[in-house]
Amino acid sequence: MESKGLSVTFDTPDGPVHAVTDVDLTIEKGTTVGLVGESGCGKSTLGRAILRLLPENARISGTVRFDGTDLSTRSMIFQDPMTRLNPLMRIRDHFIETIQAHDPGVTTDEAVSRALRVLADVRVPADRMNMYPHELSGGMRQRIMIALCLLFKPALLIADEPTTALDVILEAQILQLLQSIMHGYNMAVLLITHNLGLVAEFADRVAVMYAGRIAEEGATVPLFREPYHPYTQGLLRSVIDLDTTKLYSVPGAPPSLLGDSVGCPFYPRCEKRMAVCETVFPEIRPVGEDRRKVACHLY
Amino acid sequence: MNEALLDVQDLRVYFPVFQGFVQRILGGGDVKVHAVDGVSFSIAEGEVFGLVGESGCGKSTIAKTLVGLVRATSGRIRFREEDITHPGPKALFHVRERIQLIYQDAHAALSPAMTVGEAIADVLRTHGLATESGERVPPKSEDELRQAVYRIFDDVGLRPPVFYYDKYPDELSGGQKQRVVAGRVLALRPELIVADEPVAMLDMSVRARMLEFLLELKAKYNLTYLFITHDLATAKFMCDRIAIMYLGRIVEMGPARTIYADPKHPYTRALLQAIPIPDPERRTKKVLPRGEVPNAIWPPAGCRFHPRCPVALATCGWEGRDVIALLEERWLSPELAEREALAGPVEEWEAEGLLARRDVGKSDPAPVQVLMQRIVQETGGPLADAIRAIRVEGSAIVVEFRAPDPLVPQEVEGRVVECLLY
Repeated sequence: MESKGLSVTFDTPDGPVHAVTDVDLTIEKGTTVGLVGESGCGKSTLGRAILRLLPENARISGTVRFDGTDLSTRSMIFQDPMTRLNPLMRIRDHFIETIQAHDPGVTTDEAVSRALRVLADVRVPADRMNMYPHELSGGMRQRIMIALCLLFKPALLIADEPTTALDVILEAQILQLLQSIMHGYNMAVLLITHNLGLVAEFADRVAVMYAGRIAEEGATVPLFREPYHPYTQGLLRSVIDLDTTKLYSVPGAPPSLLGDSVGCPFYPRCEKRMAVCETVFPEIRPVGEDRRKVACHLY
Repeated sequence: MNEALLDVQDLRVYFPVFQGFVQRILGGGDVKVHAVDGVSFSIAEGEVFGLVGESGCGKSTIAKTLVGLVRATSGRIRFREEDITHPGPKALFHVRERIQLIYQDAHAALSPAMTVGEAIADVLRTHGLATESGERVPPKSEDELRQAVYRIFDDVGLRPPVFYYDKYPDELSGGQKQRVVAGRVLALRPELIVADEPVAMLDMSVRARMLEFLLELKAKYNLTYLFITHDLATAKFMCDRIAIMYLGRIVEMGPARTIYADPKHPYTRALLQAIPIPDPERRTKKVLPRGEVPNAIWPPAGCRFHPRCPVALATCGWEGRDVIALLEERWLSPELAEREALAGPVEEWEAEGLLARRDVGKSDPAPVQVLMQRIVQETGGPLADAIRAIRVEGSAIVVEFRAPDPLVPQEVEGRVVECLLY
């Protein structure tokens, strides 16, 4: 997948909200790209824009190009599978309905046997087919969401905070599962998360979003080793892990995305700001090796 | 070591499960969620004590029980030697002046129809203003009340207070709302603050600021914290002592430094190992526990972690349903399911305590018995070792387990562990 100049603006009673601005993002076949940022940075909107899942008040510009044009080549899983499954439908009917919506010629028996095959891939026992969503654990529900996505062998799976509602052990289990499935299905994953640890463990490349734009993008290892953008640096320093001995937080709070802005959106919080940053927006451009790109006047 | 500020002994909190009319008539046993099932700990004055565990382990239920929002089923809670397990209405009013709760979701904790200044003024009207002597006096005037709220805002870093008094929660950021909640808690001058996941909903870049703020308050007001979290990394930074909870029990408890340096309980180890490391150059393949946290209505026998434990022993509590879970997992492979169809399907197996049974009806149970013996032998491990017999009873195949060894918390290298390995 390749997006060029992708922008999303929501029309609201208070004026236009620029949720995503000018995003160029490439996801290569079979790779995992981690899209990180804090709440409200536009990462989920970007994910939905790629799938054209946005509400009516959204205006989209720019292009998203896939190798194939069929929408079923990409699929999405969400934070809370419970809200995506119909509480009044058995699991089997979710599968039958989904399969027949794509291909009305498939018989119920065929649909069930296709469902059983993908369920085995995500390690869900067959008897769960006859249950209702509320009878299943959180981990089982997320596995079933993944199985529903796998039905059409998508080339790209967009996983929007897929494990945020889950505990650490379950989170690790689900991500290990996703990783093993990716290889079998030759599928790329866009992992949208606020958790830098997950990105460090699972992503090949990382895109850091701030205020609707990509602040920095690059291969995971060099980006974690030497982050260029002051926001990436701050975000990495603020992670609390088992080795933390001194706490750090980025001063201030993210800006409102309402209306137009000038200059670098990170300017008020940046410890390395210069005069130019207040008035001139830093275009994202290549810096250094590994196809790294940074939107900062320092480089 | 200071005397215990809070002492909890063998606390149990069970919640009844609503059953349908027919079930109640027919009787389906006494169905309860064992949210907290025999928990003991004490917190010394000035300490930060962490309760750490995954969702459903009972940590939040303990928090609610301490402030009287949930009734203890049994056990004893003492605060400064005073029994507060089942406080009457008047005692409860005063318990809440001394023990206060900070919730995860500051937004939900504040009324959207009340300005944040009013939210704190309301508390002071009800409970009075705290004085130097420790007594509480009703505010003499609205102006005095307003000034008291300003002082609290100033204390919690909402400056200038005048600017914030008339704001509605909607107009504040997550961190600011959490400060309002902290202010409302401090207005009562509590001695113990129970902080239930106070930073879980905040963004990473501002989380540290909130934790530092909580530590500043602690130093300034000589507070004691019960810090509840699912995040072992945050707990490591914040806590003097921690207790790791699993399914309503404390599995390991002791000084944070001791436990993090050398975790003993297999569950503690699993939790620590599962934390994602924000360093792509230290990627390792993780060995994770199998499956998910079981239902707290029927917690596993023996050690509750045994079905998922990578180092379980034959004596850890294996029981009938574990063999059913084994079959279910085994038959995820369609080839095995087909080859062993004689012993299935899984739905026909029933578990009851140490037994698992399947009625084969008119067919011959002997080949099923042989097949089950082979499956168990192939599986091996502690589950297989724990089986006393696989026998035929009339038309049924019965798998019977040996009773588990009794499990008691042990003192192990400076901490308490509840595990048969020690």
